[in-house]
Amino acid sequence: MTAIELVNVSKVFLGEQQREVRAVDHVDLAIQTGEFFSLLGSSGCGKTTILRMIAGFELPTEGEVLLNGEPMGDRPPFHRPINTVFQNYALFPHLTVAQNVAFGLEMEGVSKAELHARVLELLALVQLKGFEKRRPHQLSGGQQQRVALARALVKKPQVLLFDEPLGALDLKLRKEMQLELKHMQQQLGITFIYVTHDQEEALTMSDRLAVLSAGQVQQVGTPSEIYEQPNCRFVADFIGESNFLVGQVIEQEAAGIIVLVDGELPIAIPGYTDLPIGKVVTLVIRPEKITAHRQTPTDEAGLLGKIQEIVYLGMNTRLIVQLTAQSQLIVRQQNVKRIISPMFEVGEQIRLRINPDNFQVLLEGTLRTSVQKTSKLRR
Amino acid sequence: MTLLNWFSQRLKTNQQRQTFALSLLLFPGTFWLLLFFVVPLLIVVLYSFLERGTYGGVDWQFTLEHYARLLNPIYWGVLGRSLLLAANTTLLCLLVGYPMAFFIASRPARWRNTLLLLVIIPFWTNFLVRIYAWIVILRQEGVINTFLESLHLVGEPLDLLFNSTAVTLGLIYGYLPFMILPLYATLERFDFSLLDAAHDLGANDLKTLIRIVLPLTARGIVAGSLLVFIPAVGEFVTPDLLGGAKSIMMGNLVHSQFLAARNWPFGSALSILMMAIVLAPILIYFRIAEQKLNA
Ligand SMILES: Nc1ncnc2c1ncn2[C@@H]1O[C@H](COP(=O)(O)OP(=O)(O)O)[C@@H](O)[C@H]1O
Ligand SMILES: [Mg+2]
Repeated sequence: MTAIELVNVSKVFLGEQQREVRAVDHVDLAIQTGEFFSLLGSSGCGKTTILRMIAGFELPTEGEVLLNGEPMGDRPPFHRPINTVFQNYALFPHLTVAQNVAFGLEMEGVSKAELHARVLELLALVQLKGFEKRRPHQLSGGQQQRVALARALVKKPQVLLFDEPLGALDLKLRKEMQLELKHMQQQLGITFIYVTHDQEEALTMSDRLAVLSAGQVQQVGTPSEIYEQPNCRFVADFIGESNFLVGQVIEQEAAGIIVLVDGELPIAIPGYTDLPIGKVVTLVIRPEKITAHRQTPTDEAGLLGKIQEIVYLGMNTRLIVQLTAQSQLIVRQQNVKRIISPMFEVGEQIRLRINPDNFQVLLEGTLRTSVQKTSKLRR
Repeated sequence: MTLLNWFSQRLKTNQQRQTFALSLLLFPGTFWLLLFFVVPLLIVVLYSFLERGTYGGVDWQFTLEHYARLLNPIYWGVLGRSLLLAANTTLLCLLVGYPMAFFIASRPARWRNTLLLLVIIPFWTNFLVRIYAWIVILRQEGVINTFLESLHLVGEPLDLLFNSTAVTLGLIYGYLPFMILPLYATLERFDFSLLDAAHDLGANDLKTLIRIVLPLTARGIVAGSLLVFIPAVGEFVTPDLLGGAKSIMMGNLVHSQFLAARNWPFGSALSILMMAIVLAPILIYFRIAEQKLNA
């Protein structure tokens, strides 16, 4: 079942000097009930605005937000069964921890006895027993975060919204809270919509995520879909590290196509037989999916390249290899054995092996030969 | 300067030097307050216990007659009216000023200073002139009556001037900025994301106001109310110009005892009564604030 649906939603703000800012640009999203869904994007891409429209703090300029299939229209936040954990927590400074958590229940007119029991139950859930009488300024960042969580959860919302909730915490605490939130979501079965600019956070926590840029959804999918099958160069570049090889389809065979990269290096790709000859494509390959091998006279499999740079990183070694005149590949060699003396040397010719199934083919890109010509002209 | 240097070098510890520097800094203010506030206050207290001089001033004879005279219900009536008018003024200033301060504080930063300036601009004109302008507006052949008559809404001109309503109006007009400024100062520091949080948790606008906004701006409300209430109780210019015989305030009484009746000791006794009564709410406020801090 769909918990939250955004249909063609746009939000236009009037910025300074009455200039229009399109913070959210024709967004369609369908978030399933009980799902941990993340909105991932860099700062200013419209994540908070989307969240605020779901909560009801902002109304869409165009389009419609639906909750369980029902259009929300201009229903105010206090009439939506949705709660938010705010970016800066927004705890009420004049109320104690217990009073903060109780606030939402008081608004519902819950009886004193039930209220007391529920507050204690929630404080136990977020491991803040014994902190009832403290005020927010007497708590650490992580504890404030837990109060904000308890305060929202006590309302038994159908959907819980998070706006970069862990942004202010240090790394170790952040990792702990990530796990805790994920467990809590699985236990409670509430739909979580989680805004973050941290790709690792989004990948580790989410059931599915949407990658946003400039107010638009670039791709929606499971973490592995987003990582392994990015649908555009932006997503491939934004999530993790990617190599891009731009080339042209020069041959079609029964099993696949041949792409000529940078006008000099032919690479065979299985499938994509419907692509016309002459079509410009971008091949995406992740650095860890390439293996580097020392050249031997007998073994000629793989692409030939010259090492430009070697960086030892402990768990792996990062090589930068010149593949063609214009393209380099980043290779991450897993250090499965102890490396006592360097495996390769800078300037060495090596062979790179790539399973062709690991290439993601994007139907976009511009051949760089023409760019080079113009830049040569300018010189 | 060399003398000061010499002296401060003779102080051994850092602590001593700091104390010396601090007392040096505090000296002008302390001196000013002592000379122009504490000493005159003591003189007033002293005078209130002395016999009245024939042509103003005092005779150095101890007496309690002025305090005995204060028991006369006439003065209690004036005092009651002063307190009532000042309380009304404070309440109305709060009702008008709070939304204004809230509005200004919730504007984008670049608008706020301009809006605040608009609140302060009336101060650039003399208070007396501004109160006098109300006479021009309110009198029988004044702006309002002329307007109403030209529309044939009233047959006879309305009696808008020389009553308690006119005085209250003048007081509100005069003291509104004293309410708005401290309110603005607290509201400016108010975290407006708390409004979202309250709405998110199911509070409508009214509940958000009562449970979140008012408690968090209570200091501004109290400060503004004191700043309006205290001077309003002692006002004499506004009731003098806009009020009639029935809207005399304590300030007028004190004023007339000193200048017209030339009864300085009784004027002093009246002042002290007024001060005692105005002091009460302040003391209560500080007591409550202290308890809250300790809790
Ligand atoms: N109330 C507003 N008025 C004007 N512009 C806004 C407002 N809120 C957000 N914006 C603009 O909309 C864009 C998206 O903002 P936001 O949703 O906060 O991004 P994110 O949360 O992804 O960092 C930004 O360019 C921001 O400046
Ligand atoms: Mg944001």
